Amino acid sequence: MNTKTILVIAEYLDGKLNPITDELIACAIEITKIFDLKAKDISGVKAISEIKVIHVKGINPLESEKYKSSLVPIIREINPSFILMGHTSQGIDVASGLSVRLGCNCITGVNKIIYPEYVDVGKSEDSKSNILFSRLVFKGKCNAIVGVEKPENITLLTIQSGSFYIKDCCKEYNNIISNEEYYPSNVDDSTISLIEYGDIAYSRTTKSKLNEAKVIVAAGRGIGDKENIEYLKKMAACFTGSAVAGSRPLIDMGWLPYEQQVGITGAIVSPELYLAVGISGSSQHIAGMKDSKFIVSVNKDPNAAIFNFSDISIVEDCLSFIQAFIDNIP
Amino acid sequence: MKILVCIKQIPTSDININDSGKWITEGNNSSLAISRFDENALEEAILLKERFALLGISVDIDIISIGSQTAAESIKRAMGMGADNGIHVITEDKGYVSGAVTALRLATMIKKISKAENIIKMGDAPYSCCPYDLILTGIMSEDLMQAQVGPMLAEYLNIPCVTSVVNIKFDDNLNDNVDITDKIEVQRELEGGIRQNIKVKLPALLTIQAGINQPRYPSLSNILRANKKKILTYNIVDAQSSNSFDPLKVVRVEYPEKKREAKLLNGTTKDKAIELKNILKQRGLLI
Repeated sequence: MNTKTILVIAEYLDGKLNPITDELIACAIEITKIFDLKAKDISGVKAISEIKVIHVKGINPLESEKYKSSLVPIIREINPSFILMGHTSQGIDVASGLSVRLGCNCITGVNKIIYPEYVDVGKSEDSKSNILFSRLVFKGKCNAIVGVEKPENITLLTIQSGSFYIKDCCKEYNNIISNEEYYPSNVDDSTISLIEYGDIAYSRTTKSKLNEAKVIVAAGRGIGDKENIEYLKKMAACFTGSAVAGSRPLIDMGWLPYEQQVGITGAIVSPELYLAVGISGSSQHIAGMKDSKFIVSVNKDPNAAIFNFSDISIVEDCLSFIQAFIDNIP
Repeated sequence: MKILVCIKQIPTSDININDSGKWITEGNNSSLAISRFDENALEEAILLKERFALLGISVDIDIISIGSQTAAESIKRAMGMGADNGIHVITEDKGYVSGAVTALRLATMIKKISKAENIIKMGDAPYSCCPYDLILTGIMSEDLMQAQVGPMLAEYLNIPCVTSVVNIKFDDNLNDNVDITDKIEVQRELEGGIRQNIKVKLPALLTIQAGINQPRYPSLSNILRANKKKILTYNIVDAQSSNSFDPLKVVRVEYPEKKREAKLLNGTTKDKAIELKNILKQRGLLI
């Protein structure tokens, strides 16, 4: 039986390994487990698979055009079944373009690996697919379960951060994981000369005060109008040690300053209470607040993604609810 | 100078999984809109047009959208905001379309249009296949959220691509030695508020991140102008290429699993407010 290779492309920034790399390895282990399950179902023996983590050196990973070009020959040489990259700003800049150059399948933002229900032979379309992948659609309200038409081709996945974790049971897979460094040379590509990558700027260094707050009352587009921030402040005033925050769209619209933004590109917070008002719950916002001790959400859409991460769900118009909450505080 | 903006019309109403479990149905108050990031891309194109106009350089903005009959409304809106021409590729595809298919369709259309307008200058290869100086689109669509179409389209057209752009700069001091229609300077956003400065030669494709601008409302004069203009309409078969089968398929759609209890409070607004107050008091979060 041929060895199946899962290729993990380690992500670096400023020479430091990004934590997403651990999640990629955890995801690779999930895929290996499914290979094993499938092989056992078919032939009673474990599959032979390996997880290859490659560290591309001597090249700035933020120089995406060059990075793409240097990855192509490496991947062709390894010829993996799967390639895993982060669904991060770097991954998004590289993965899709890379998949076109490789002529391979590309699924972005994967949050779960699903064992195929191929035992239902002849009944469902699932029977044909090897492994299925879950990814968010419609602002996180649903997951689409996606399969590939040609599993014999390479499949490139970008992995949503916060979806896979290295657990104790992963240790038994340590012997199939190898780390390799690559120093690409003679990278040749017509588009490289057309793009000059400059410095990176840490332009917004103001430390967020949100990390000190015990209670955060946060609003999203659902509050409707800039003037309504006043209601939010009144609600926050009901709590001691509270702060007002907002989701990215609110900050983009200039309704609140950047220091008050919660999410991947803003502050990552974990207060005693997070009260989300009119926030639909994009994955970038969820990543910034999901570790809060107690989460209460108010949204008029009963299918808002934020409810999946909440202890208490309140389906209501934001302003009416804030008003009722303030009125009923003694 | 020619700019193309790729836009997508998306449902903004409530979303429910349909009876087959394979896709979604739109809720009662069904409404359609231009995907938010695409609207940012369009606004950025219009801002560039205005800035270039001050330098005496004219910019033509084309809009392209692949979508059902209703997408024409979004194209009209885009023209109302300030775009010059609309291209509508009509398809009744409703479900999941992978980025690879959409990107290839767009590339096919762009090449076809450029041939029709006889824009290709032979000898400029390999970039001659791109009749636009700049192609802008949103970082992702709000419905499928793949973030694939932009970078894939750039590959098919063999032009450089920068994703997640939060700032487009260009030298306003007109200098005879510098051709500002040759190269632009952009910033892309990384995690944690970090920005990367990039200079890119045109033609190039940029995917636009939210927050770069505030999209304007359509103006009456532009709407009147747009109403007089005809949208260039194609059928989806015009955008088909030999290998445009979809490499991905959706087998079903699911609601995400709940990570927490998500206890639903019932009753009137007041009932809910009082119940929440009591819960928070019990937990010592409210005095």
